[in-house]
Amino acid sequence: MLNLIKLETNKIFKPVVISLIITTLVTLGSLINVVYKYSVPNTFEFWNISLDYISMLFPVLVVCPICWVMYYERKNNFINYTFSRVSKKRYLFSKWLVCILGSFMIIFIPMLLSGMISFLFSNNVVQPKSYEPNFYTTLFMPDFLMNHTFLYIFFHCIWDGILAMIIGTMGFVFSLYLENILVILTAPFIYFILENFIMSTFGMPKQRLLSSFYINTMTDTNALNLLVGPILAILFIFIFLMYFKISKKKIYDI
Amino acid sequence: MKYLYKFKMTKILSKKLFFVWFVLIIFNLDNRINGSLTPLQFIVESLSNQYYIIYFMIPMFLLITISDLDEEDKYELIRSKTYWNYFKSKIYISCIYSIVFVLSQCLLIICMSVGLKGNGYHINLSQYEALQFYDGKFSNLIVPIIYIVSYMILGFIMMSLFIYTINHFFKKNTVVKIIIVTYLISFISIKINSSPLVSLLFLNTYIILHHGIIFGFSISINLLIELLFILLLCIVNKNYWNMSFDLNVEKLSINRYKKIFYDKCNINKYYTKKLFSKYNMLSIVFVLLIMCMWKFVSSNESLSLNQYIINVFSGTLIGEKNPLVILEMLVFNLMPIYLLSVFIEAESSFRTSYVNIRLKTSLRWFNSIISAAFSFLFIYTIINILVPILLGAILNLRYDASVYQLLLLIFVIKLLNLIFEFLILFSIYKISKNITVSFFSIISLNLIAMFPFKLIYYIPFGISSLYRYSFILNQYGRNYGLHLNHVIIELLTLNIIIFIYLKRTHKKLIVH
Repeated sequence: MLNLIKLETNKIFKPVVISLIITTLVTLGSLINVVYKYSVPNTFEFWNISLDYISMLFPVLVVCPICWVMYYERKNNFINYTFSRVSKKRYLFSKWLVCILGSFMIIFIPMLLSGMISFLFSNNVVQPKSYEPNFYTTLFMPDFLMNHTFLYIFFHCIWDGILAMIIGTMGFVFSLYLENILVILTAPFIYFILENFIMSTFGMPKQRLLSSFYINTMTDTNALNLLVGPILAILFIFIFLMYFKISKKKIYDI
Repeated sequence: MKYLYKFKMTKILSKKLFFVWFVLIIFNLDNRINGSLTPLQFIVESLSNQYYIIYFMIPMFLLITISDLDEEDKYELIRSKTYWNYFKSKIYISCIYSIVFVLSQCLLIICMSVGLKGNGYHINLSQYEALQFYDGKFSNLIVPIIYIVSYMILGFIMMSLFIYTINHFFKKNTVVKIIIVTYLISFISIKINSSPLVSLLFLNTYIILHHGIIFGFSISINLLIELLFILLLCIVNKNYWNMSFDLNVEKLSINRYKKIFYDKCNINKYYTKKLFSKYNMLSIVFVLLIMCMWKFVSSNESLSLNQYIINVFSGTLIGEKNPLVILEMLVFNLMPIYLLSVFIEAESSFRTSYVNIRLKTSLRWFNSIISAAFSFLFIYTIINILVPILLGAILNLRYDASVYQLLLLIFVIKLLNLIFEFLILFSIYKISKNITVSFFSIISLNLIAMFPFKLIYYIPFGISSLYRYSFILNQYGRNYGLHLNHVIIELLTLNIIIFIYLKRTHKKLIVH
């Protein structure tokens, strides 16, 4: 099992690192863009506003470097040769494990980095006037945010990493069954966009997958909205799996 | 002969009737519980409910009649000796079926009306359109009920006979197309105030009595008109049944010209069939509907149709940084490009070398792909314009006369822009041999407009965004922006240059 995981890690190491660098550049770029444009009452707000672009792009950044492996292994029949040596379940499981770990890393590390760097700009913070209300009163767990800002960012990053894992799993499931590389690499992104517009058309903008990327769009009373988007995505994955099971598509084409 | 009738009856009486009853009950439940009508008023109101009839009853009837519309059975024809005898069985069926269809619903409504206690004096009749109409004409409401029911039955008989007649003269495909078009016309008819002659084309004129009184005749004359129509259909079937009206599409002159270009490329047909698949068209319509709905929901003003269409095609400003707006633009502009790139990936990565060997020259392959893609983009642009217009018609937005000019303009720019982006996609594909890379590079090229420089105004990616043009920006008091003529000239020249370049180097497109 460990050997399998090592093997898989070697396969996707380079593209994941490249994607990590790109993601870091995007997050840092948008952070610096925010710092010199906005005047906000807390360093946390810099970081929070700078998430706008990464929250849009993360399905692409997560899926592209990872999910091509399975497609090419199926296309050049490599996977059929593994069948006699490793059991199916183990092989696929180790692949999935590496996939979700990779997708977690791609989102987690750059976001945490930009969170750390945002503390450097505490000089640019503009203190709110006395008559203005405190910005954090409408946010999720305001006391925790004020007292342990870094821990708050850390947990935020973990949550976003979990979302990335779900999207990564979606891409992985597509790569198991579909035959068009473009569809595999872009389907999670397109799901993401369509879900975004459908939900907001039907008047549920707080339940989108996009808005569950920001923990602080929730208040203490409607924290459950955070879970709607991910659960819908998981349901979507399950429906796809069931569809492929019913239509009897095979991963191992023997 | 009896056997034939019975056989046909069992075919047509299906479970769909239960569904019709079920929806009828749900539709009238609210009026039954909360309304303060007398039983007779309730019956009149729910029998002439135009929304229920047009949006549900007529389509269900059409669906039931179409679903067992077969090619004429030779055995039945031989058995009945003459065509007229055979057609008689059809008349019999349509009579019985329309009577069952209407009377069962009428019975249900009568059952529902039992126990209504309103006395009918304290209600505001203005919210019941049909009731108001009949109340002014009759002192006793039982008379209009009889008229409504008989008019409806005759209307349905006429409709089914009409369908059987055109089924005799045309193929089933054409029949379905004709029916869909006529239904769509009547679907829109509620929203439009049309002249009496035009409203003869609408299906609902023959089914809903208070829509049918158009020439100012009395009701009995309307009934007579329907009877005359039925007689006419019968006469056509009795005397002219062996004439052939079937449009032979292949003999039309347009196709002759088409053959000159496409005769040798039968691969063309295959590609168009792949591109215009059901799945592709449905996904286009679905996404466009969602996006146009979203554009409508997100703007909270009372819009005119012109403003709504400008909103839909607004795209992005130069220097737009809001990611949601950029996403909208990308979805509108890149959806056909995405479908095309899926198509290219499927077609050109596995099969090109075989196809090229079969076709002998690669130029033919290139031409057929390009022509299929261009026609796809053409159809997409038309659908993209039609969807907001239809939505606007359903939502009853008012419009100015300048809307036609605007639409023409949008059509030209959009089509040219899409063709340009497709050609760029193709040329990047030529270099990189990887469709994913080329698609994402198209996305990133579209994102250049995020950075505000002066030169970027004429960058041809996303140039169909209306918010970049001076004639739109002038309305907001800004005197800069693109000029239409410049853009069209620019796009045309760029398209021609890239097309010639691709045609010269098309051999590199083939992936082995």
